[in-house]
Amino acid sequence: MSENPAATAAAAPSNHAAMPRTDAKLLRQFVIEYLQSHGFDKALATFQAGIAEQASGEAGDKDAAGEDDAAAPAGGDGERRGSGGAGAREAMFRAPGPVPLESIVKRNIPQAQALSASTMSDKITPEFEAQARYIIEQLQKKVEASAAADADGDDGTKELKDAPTNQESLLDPSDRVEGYRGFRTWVDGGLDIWKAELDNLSFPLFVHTFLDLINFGFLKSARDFFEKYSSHHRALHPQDISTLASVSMREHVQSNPFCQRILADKYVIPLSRNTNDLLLQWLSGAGLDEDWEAGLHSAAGRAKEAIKGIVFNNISIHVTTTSVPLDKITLASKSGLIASALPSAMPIEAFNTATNLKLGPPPMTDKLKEQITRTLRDEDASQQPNGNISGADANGDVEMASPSQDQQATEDRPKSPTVQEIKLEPETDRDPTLVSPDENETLPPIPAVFRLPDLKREVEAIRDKRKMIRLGPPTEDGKVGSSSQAVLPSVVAFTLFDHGETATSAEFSNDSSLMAVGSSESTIRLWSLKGEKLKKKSRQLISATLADPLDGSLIEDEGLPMRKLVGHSGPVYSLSFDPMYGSASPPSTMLSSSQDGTVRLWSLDTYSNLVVYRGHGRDPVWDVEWGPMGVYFATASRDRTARLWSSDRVTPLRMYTGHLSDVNCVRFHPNSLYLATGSNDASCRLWDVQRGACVRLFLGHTDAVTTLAVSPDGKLLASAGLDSSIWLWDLGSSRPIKRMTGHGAPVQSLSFSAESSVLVSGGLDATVRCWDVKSAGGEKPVGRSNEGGLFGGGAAIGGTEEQGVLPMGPGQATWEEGTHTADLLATFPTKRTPILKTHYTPRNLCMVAGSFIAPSSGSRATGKSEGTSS
Amino acid sequence: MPPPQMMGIYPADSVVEVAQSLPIDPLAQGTAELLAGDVEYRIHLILQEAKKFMTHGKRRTLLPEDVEFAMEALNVEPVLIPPRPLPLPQFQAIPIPSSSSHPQNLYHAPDDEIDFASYLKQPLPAGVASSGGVKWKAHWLAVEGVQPAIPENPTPVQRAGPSRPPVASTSLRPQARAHLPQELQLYFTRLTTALVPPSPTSPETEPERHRVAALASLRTDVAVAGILVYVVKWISESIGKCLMAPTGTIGHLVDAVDALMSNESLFVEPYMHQLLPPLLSIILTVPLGPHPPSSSSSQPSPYDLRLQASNILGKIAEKYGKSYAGLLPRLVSTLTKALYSPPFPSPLGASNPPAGRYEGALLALSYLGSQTVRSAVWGKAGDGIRRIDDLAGTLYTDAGKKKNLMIRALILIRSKPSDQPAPQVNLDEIADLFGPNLANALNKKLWTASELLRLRREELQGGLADSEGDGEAEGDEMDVDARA
Repeated sequence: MSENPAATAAAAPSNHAAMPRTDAKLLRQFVIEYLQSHGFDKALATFQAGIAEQASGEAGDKDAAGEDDAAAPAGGDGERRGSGGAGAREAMFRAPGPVPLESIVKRNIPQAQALSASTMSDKITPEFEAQARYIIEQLQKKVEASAAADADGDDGTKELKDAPTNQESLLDPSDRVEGYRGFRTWVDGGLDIWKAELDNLSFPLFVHTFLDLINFGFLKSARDFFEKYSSHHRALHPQDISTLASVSMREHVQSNPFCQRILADKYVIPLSRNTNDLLLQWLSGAGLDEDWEAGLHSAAGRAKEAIKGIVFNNISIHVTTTSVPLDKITLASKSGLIASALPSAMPIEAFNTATNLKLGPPPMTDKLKEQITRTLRDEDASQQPNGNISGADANGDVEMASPSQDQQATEDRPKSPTVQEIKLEPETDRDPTLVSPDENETLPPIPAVFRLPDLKREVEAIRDKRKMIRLGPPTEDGKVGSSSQAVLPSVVAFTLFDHGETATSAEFSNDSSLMAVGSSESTIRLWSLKGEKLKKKSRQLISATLADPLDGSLIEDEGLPMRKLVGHSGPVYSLSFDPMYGSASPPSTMLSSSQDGTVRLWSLDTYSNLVVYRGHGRDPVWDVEWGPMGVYFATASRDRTARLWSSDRVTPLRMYTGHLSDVNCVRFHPNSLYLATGSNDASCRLWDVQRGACVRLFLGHTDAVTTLAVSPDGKLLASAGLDSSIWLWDLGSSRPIKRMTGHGAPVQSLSFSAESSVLVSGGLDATVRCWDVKSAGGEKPVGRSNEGGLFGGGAAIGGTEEQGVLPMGPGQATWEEGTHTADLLATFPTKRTPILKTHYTPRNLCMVAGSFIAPSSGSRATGKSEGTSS
Repeated sequence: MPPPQMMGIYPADSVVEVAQSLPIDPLAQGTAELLAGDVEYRIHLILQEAKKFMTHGKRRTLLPEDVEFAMEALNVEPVLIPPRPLPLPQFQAIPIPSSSSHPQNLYHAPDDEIDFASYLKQPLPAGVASSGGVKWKAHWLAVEGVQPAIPENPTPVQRAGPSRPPVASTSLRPQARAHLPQELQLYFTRLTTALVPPSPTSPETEPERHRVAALASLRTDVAVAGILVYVVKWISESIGKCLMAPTGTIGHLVDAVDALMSNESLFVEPYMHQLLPPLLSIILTVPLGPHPPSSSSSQPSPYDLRLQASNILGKIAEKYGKSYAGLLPRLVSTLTKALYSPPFPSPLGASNPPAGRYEGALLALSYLGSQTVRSAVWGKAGDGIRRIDDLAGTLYTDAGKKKNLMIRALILIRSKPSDQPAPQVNLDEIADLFGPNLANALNKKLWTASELLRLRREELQGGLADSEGDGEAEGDEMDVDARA
């Protein structure tokens, strides 16, 4: 085989029926003529102008780019061809690397009889042309490189480094495609335990192969390649694949940010030690397949060369120290274009552990603590005689009796009079490992003197905590519930009617007295959930008999059941009630963000717009949220930034930049030191609010992140998005905890219960789901096989129906969803209400809001899903 | 310059057409392709952006406004979009004359002028007119993790939610839905609906024609193979549930089984075990059909049903009896057990003996071949006949029905050659040996009667002289005749 490499190369194309190679003879002829034309053009311009003209008829205008940079070496090349100058020839062919240039050229341009230029012209196809041009470019680069190497005095190491690049680049499209195909075949045929890791590697290989093909002008090959193999990657990289689908020209590659990133950056792939060994073995041809043995002399060898080139040049492989195969969560959270996502060049683990976070609850001044204790003691003392500790509270919340609560109450009762000390927080909630921030670190700094609302809020928080229903699966000490069953939340659904799909946001106030719904018609609707009328306060008119206009007395009108806030000029994407009063009393202000690029502050006393915050320009503001202590708020926008504002200024205070695409959502850490953002680039970040620096980067989602939740205990972050899966992250160690799947559509909202044990999610699949935060989770496929096979429902029908009725009616079989992870505690489907917002009251009652979609308007969506389900 | 090959989906022709409509120089070769590729790239960009607005609008359908916002965000001059709801585009075809044979159509959306005054006077759409604005309603979606069964919550059937196929009342079983392609599902639904018309049908009505067509389809179509497992399941389940339904329904189902069995292109063998129990049920169940029996003339009588089912059973036994050695003996033992079971206690009450069971067993046995009849009914030297005769005495008060039944069975034992004159038989002897009822029944079938007597004699003799084989018995027919 190796005795006649040229013949092998010429025969190789016939192996690939799918990707026919262009005519080698023609190619060679074309290239020679082109080189000649250049040679005469530069070295012997006047002498053989006639020939140059003749040849450039076909070739001259075809490669304008190559013409300029190829001047000097191509001149030498021309000499070789034209006059046969011996010296120049020697310099040219002292090629670096293990394989001499000449043989490479021969393989790519096999010997064949010459054709006249006139017969060639009609056989030139764009594909052919691209290939010829490509070879010429590579030759010229090669010659340049060798010239440079000569000048440097034959630096051996440098040559060796160059070698693989140059060899790899002398491949034609079929070799690249074949290389990728070979890799996939190898992976698919390999052991299952390594498959996930190697599969992960195949995505960058796919992208680079595709971009290479586009870059060299093999447009048809590129498109065929893309269509054949893209479906495999669509599940895990939906955004990237849809971006690549639009790329069809070299110009697109140059202007597309994703393509530029992937070309400029090294794609990081984590591999376990064993997998890495396997990969190296395969790449070096030590595998069992003999095809590779032939090396560059065979098509298969060149195909592998293509993969090698991509692996060595464009992928950075991080090998773990263990040989344990990596799980999917690790793979997803550690691979990707990490370098460009991080401010400094360091591995993601190092970046994520560089800063220690203070995740503890915010401190409380001693005075406030003392006052709270006093207030509570007074209250208890006044209630004790009646024995009415767990009576109906001022909020009118429904009293939810539970065994645990009674137990708790009986525990508390003997204690409080004797010890005369109110526990501000149950001991279990305190985690000694969490560092609390200093008093002046929070936003705003904890004031030395507290105000009345602060006291009210904190007292109410304690009350809430006492009356809270403990949710979650039973623990060992039997704290939660007496039965072995998990205690699940009660869920109230607030269904909007006649709103269709135009409801774009919904929000509940902390004290559960108000619901606000933003619509795509740019209005905000406010309802009182207690059935009260919303009364508008206004300054008393001067015309009244009372003389002093400045006495500030307010009058209320008779009120309306619903208030409409008009001010925005685009869909309202996010709403936030101010947290100043906690759950003690209704909020006084509300923020809203809209497509028109503004954030508006609304007074809930006068139902009017107080302030307009512009700062994101014309870019829509996707999300807005008040800081946990009011005054400050954060916004997320399409302009790829999140910003921090103070409500008394109309310009932003901080800007958090780093996301590579839109920032979709923003959430404060409960101690206000950190800000979590989720972005369209499928990542979540945690920012230091004060410094404006990114302190954590969470990778793993496969599509845009649209919602986040930080657990009330400050330790966890949950994120979910268009990929319908929910990820749980540990903020302190920055590790992904688990991935929870089960939703069949994008998740719109997440909330943690007050003790951070049960996560509730609502999605566009019109279900509310409860997740166990603490359990390990993991895959638990619940296929149809569990439901008694083919006719599992038959028995149920027979049992319930009368004799003499045909069993053609609707079956009783449960249509449980295909797969979900083991930590899904419960699923509550609604009739036709996609969930917009989930919310936990401080006492762990869950509230969800959604807009009912009438069957007629939703029929299209139903039809679509029907098609996919069958 | 040769045209570069564009691999997008946006047609270059569109670019050419736009260019022709503009006052610009003709496009150079390849320009249209390049532009088309670029246009496609830009459209992708806009759609990618529009998708974000859709996501934040918390929808899964892309609306015109999303595209509008996207263009605004990308700083592209926005196009005027129609207000929602979008009228459905009703394209109208205009045939354009062309040189080629097949006519080409040009489609366009008619853009009528709307008179503003009259448009405003038009009544509002139903949904808008009756609506009193946006409202909300609260309900318990779950109470401590349990979803209460209130109207606001979906029923277990609806729990599917909007994302699952609605289950129509007379539609296919959901399980089949999950495993079959759409076409076969439809076929199955239609087939099963047509096979059992909702109400008793008279021959010339539409449902009856459908039924006949469905039966024909079952009998001949190869496509049944695709849904065979479901059809068999459906039939067997339906029969199981319909044993007390009006006999018409059972008759239809039996027809279906018959049709299925006679379909040459099907491989029914694996489903035999599913089809046999329902058939045996029809044959042996008492009461079959409503009890007391309805006197409607349009319904087949239980006897007819048993006859038909026995017929099918016979076919099955004939077809598969050889390949499954245990099949015939097991059938016979089941039927014999039923035949020899005591009439009381009867499922019909103390006054009504379950005559149908014995009828059915006899019928079925008679269809299983003469061998079976000889072993099961005839018994040892006609003892079985005696027993049946006794039964007949207890079962029936009038003598009409029982005759046919027994004769049917007995005729099988030895068919009468047509050219033979009827021999003279002493019926008293029959009555003596086998019972008075049989004698009554046989008073017109003298040949059979004589044969019975002869067989008994032979067997009694054969029992002494190491009984003769069956083949011999067949072989010496002439001999017997001569003696007679």
